[in-house]
Amino acid sequence: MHISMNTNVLFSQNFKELPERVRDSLLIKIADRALEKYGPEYNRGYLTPVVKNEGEFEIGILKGEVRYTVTYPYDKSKELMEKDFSARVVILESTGKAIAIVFGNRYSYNLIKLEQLEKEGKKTQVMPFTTIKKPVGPPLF
Amino acid sequence: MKNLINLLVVLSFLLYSCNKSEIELDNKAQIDYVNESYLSLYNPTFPSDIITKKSKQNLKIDFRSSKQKVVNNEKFTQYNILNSGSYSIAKTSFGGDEKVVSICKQFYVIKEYLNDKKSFSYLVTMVSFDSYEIKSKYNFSYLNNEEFNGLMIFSRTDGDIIGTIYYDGEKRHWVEFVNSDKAVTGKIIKLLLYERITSKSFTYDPNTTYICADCGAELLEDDFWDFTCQSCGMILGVLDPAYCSVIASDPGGEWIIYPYNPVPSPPDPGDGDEGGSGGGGGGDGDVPPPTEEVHLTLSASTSFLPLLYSYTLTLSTVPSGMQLSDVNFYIYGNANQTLFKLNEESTMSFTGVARTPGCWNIKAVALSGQDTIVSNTISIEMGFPSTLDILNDPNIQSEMHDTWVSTKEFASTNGRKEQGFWVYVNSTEGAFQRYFKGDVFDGPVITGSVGTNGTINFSPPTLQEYGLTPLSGGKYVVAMFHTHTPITYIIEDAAREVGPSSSDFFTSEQHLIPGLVYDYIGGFLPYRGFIGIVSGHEIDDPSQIYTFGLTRRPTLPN
Repeated sequence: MHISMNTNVLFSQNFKELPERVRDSLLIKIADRALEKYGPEYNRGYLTPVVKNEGEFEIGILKGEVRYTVTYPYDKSKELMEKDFSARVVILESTGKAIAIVFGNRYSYNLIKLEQLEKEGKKTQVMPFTTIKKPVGPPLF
Repeated sequence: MKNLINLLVVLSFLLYSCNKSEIELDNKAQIDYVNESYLSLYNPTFPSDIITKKSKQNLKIDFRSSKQKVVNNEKFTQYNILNSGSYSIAKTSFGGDEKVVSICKQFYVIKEYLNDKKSFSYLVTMVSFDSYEIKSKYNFSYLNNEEFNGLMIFSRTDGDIIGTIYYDGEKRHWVEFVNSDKAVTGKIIKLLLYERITSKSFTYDPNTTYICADCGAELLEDDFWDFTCQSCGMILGVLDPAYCSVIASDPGGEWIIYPYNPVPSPPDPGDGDEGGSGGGGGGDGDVPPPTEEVHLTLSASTSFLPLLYSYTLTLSTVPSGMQLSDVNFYIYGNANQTLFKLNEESTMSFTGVARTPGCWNIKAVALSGQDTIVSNTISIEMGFPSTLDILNDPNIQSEMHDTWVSTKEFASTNGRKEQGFWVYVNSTEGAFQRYFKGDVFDGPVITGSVGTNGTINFSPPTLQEYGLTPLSGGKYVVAMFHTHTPITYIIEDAAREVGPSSSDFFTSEQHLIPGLVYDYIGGFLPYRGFIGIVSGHEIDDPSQIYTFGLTRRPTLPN
């Protein structure tokens, strides 16, 4: 029997009381869901994401809010991106919502703003997946 | 059974680096007996002669022998010596009587550092000044004299001369080039080295027909070994310009010979109860009267400076305040030791400008009465300009700004592209512009929207003109510059990190050159945690030039 649950509700209500392992798995699940929507290829899938409590925002309209990051590592011997990670999802502790994604190509999405635009009927483009190549060969001169 | 090679190879330990003011020689000679296939030398050094003292004094080398390991306790932990069997034809002139006097044997030597696996290769060319009627391609017994009389020339594999030692019986001297007509002292020798065949550039193929370029006769293998077309007598050679360009031609100027140890030892302030070396036999207690020697000490205001910066050389004497005349400062490289005079007037100090990149040696020569005295040698590295030097140049600043404006003007809803160029320095005297740009390269037009980074491919720089002398200066690539693109016209709500990217760093590392990129200054985006720009930003938002990678191009070896 498959039991599904509303992770947002669970997260926002019970977050602080959750054991760390459970909390991290929920955060990863939220991040996966955001990535699936905005840049599925940036979830490379072969390495476990890393969860980190980044503390409170010190500036901006979210000043004082605690956020977590879920960082997706990748194997640099297999592929190379501009960043050291393929994606990093920022999640607010108070709401359990993903508010931003930084992609491995140095671009990022503000998910709060995108959701507003989507409510207005604008569709967001999935972030194109790009990798880079380390140049090989002798110097040009 | 193959013949044994009885060989005493004397290899001076030629260390050349920016930190070394002198090429050093190790005087601890050791003999080892080797066979054709394997040669082991320990503490390889130069003895007073180069010929074995065994009874069979054949200097016979297996030209096809493989690498030879040599262990040196001091610096190198491993040598590989490959007797690759390359020859030179040497022609010398004495008093206008010019003739071919010998075939030179060249040892192709490969030295390896064990620590970092880097290697340094050089050639040793032996030129006998004695004439021999019988010469063999394998048997070098005609060099069978214990007091080798000739030159031993060290050169890099590209032909640049590192140093030359003149063996005159048991004596030996450094030989240096001067361009000046003021040969200081000693025997003047003019040496012409002709083009040569090297095993690296030429391999005789018995299935190939070779034709003499002069008479059209078919050449046989022996012709190549003897370097002479048997039909017309033409000296053969496969001239590989990259390999032989310098050593194969008369380097110009005259040769002068200095004493082997040109750096005078400091004067002994004591009463000198030790007798001088050499000299004729005198009676007991027959102490020669002390003669006051003058020593020159050369110092410089800096050991490193970028191109177009100035430096000052200062001379002092011991005893101090000695009157000197005809004071000249000379600059020369490690490979090609041709001397170039720096000053025009006799003076105890000289201020010059760094023109040609390299690690240069400088010394002074002066007259004290009738005596010629030579100073210590100092080393100054003249390097490429730093990114700060480049950014401070108003001309190149303006060029970069114009390119940035061009990039912004091109950007539209139809696309955007990066642009860039090589930055050159012109270090020649009287150059109109110190820094200038090469052709502007355009990256491909990016028609996608968010997430598509611009790229740009640099073609090899075409405007470089390497300085031929330490004084001439030249035109050198010193940095690569490009622009990043605005995301003003991207419709998605996205942000891009500003400044140099990982790709930019990789490119700088690959070409060993500093990078400059024009991009927006941007602002800290707290949700994302980076400094960036957001799509839809103003096209003329504040921008700046970022530097990345190396701070300056590494100095070229010389």
